[in-house]
Amino acid sequence: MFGIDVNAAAFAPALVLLIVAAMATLWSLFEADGRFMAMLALIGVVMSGLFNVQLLLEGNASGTYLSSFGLKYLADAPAIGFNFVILIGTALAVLIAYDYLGRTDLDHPEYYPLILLSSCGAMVMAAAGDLITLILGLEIMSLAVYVLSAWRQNARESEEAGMKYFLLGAFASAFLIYGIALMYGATGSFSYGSIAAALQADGFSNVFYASLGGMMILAGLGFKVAFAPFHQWAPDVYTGAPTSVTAFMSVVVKAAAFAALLRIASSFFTELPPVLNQVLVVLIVLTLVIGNLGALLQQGLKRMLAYSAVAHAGYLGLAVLAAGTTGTKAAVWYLTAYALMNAGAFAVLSLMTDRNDHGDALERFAGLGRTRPGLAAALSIFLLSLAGIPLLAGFVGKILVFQAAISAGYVGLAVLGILTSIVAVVYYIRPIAYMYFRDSEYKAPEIKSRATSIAIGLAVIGTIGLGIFPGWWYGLINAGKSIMAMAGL
Amino acid sequence: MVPTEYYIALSSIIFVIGAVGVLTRRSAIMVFLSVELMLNAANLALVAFARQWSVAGAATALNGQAAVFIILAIAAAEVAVGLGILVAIFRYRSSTDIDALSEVRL
Amino acid sequence: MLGFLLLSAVMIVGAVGVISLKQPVHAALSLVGTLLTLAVTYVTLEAHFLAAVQVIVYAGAIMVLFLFVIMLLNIQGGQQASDMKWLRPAAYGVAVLAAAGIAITAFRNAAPLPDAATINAALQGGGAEQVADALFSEFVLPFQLVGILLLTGIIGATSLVQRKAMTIYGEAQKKVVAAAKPAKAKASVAVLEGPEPAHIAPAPAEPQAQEDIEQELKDILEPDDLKLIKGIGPILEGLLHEHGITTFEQIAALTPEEIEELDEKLDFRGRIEREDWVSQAKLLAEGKKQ
Repeated sequence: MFGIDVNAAAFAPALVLLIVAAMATLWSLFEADGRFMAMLALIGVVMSGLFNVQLLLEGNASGTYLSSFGLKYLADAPAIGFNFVILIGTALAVLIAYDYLGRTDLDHPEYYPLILLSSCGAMVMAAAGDLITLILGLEIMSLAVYVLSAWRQNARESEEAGMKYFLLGAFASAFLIYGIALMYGATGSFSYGSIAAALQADGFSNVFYASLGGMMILAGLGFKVAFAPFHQWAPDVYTGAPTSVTAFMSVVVKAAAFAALLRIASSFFTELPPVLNQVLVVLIVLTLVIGNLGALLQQGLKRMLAYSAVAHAGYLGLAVLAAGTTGTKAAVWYLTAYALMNAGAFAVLSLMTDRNDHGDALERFAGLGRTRPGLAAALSIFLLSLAGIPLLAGFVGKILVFQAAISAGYVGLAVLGILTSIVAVVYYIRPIAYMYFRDSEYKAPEIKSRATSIAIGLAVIGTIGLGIFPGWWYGLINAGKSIMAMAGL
Repeated sequence: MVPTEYYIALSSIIFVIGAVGVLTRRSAIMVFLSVELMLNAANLALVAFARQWSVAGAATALNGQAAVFIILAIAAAEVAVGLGILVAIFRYRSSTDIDALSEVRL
Repeated sequence: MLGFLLLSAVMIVGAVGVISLKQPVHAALSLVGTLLTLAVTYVTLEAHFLAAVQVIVYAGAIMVLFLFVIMLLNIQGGQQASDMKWLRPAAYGVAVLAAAGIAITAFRNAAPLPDAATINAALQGGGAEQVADALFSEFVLPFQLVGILLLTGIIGATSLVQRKAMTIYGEAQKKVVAAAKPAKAKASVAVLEGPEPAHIAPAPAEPQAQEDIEQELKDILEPDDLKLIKGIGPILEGLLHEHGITTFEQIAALTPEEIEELDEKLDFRGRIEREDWVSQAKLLAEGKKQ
């Protein structure tokens, strides 16, 4: 058709999400039951996951990966890995929302279609082989998340979170788009492969356009992953948005933006002047320091987790610096662990707060170890894993990322990462100390939800399982390379 | 014919004016209008570059113009959602002042 | 060159107008001016189809939406922020530097413009046919993704804006359905078991229930103008509507406990009692009957 290869198997996981989202939208005209929609969304996620498993197994067995639309949509090892992260995040977010929405009067029929569309956009971003596809995926994902952040309409925090996220997000997109325009001006192409080829070619003269364009693309994507100093939106938006949405965006948006950054870093970023790499190093240093210090100062768990999300962007930044196959694998592993432990922590939080998401102050967690031992134990596991305590998933992730950074020659940054991880232990341990060593002044909330409990259970199993048997999952994602790496770019 | 660099200079001026607008205007709708300026600056750059790249053949040159078309659609979708959020907020408060976001700590 | 300078002057003046005019309507009209000039510039750059699209979609549809919202919400120009005085000069300084930086980059990178024949051969005026060729071959995937993007935009915008009406109407509907079900069930039982007094007895209650529901629906669909009560503005009225209070009678019938509850829920800080909404509403309700 039109001389363009259309390979449906390559984009089946994203297509399934799109179809289920469209079905759910139509269905909401007749039946407004939120739980039914949640089940539909879960079925969609599972089906999408099955297609993704098939892609992974076939790719690992044959060593070749699919692509579609003339290398615009790549279903290679990194894309498949990030798809899993996106699906895990979506599934946990849907399970958290299952009872949460009804409890907080947020049960409007468009919620699940928007979540699915957002995941679909995230998958497109992870699979994008050119800058135009990238920006479209990013916009599909972001528009849905802007709306979801403003979901709670009778609370100002939420609407303001939506407005602020939208305005700053549109500002960042404008930078990204201008950067893409400059990159086109420099190389005459939008696709990563051709850009890298043009930059490598002898007699390339548009270095200035290319570096300026690269800088703007970095700034635009840096906003999405919340690199300091573009992180200012993150604490406000994460705190203001409904908890189920925060769980979703802290995992899925971050994973997709890192997928895009890693593709750019492994294709044409290294061909640009080294000053851009130094800018990236500065951003990562700032992110590690500001994220961790910011988290130290917070009194509410939700805001603390928001700053911790910024800090984790710094650790993932180390993987971006390493780039290439090693960095990508480390990032996929880290984000898998991060999806489980972070969404798990938000799941616990959603059971602790009232219908306006208030009551996440640390004092409220005092004595939780006695009043609700299961919840306290789960939260402790997630926080310890986020801190990077051995035998939990977060620890292995950090080791992989530091290894990647050291092998790429960034020893200083790896040391800074280890030092900040030690500081981070302080603020992750504090809620645990409150739960087990303080007496409660408040009555523990008695919110119970089977779906959220399932989410917490799955996250606990994943966090511990990945921590004790890291080899299994690493073996699966380790088998392949990106299509661009195989093409020698 | 006017060379490409003049158009790029013009586009950069428009882009920067838009960025200043985002940073200095406090009302949400004004910030939004400024973002539109920035997007249009990017489109101008793309069209100018497209003409420059006609040396590399029709496909390369027209890709630039097609990208403008896509970015136009992105701007339209952003406007729909942004104005939706604005209208939703306006039901609960009478200003679109982004500095008055008091309950979200800065 | 003279034409270009003229166009850029108009465009820059328009852009400065967007960020400096106080009234949003003026700023939006200024942006329309910039966008139309941009369309003319596209013509000089051999992009005729894009010029047309720029006028129709951007200056036409998108800006009309902007103006529509500005007028609908009656947004006035607010005063400028005063607490970050350093920001303005800093932003201007950085802006001049950045623009100069990009411009110098552009001039240092100046490549000779291809001759007219080459441009013409490649772009062919940038008509609909040429752009469509690119859109439906190289850009098939982006073109499809734009469809998904617009779908997301539509669902998102609708879900945000349409919500209030949906919620209130939906709740009323649920009540009607819930009330109708037992009524039907009773009716069928009565038919099956014959005219026994015990089964007929509840029948007169049904019209009563029906009336209640009708009254409730009427309350929701034909609200009184609560703003007539001193102390209630459009915002508080909206809040009250969301809690199902739409008529004077409802406010007049509020018990002290209900007032306290409302006060807490809506954060009125004792306003209901201080401004004595209840007796105001009683008077207004009597006035309505007459």
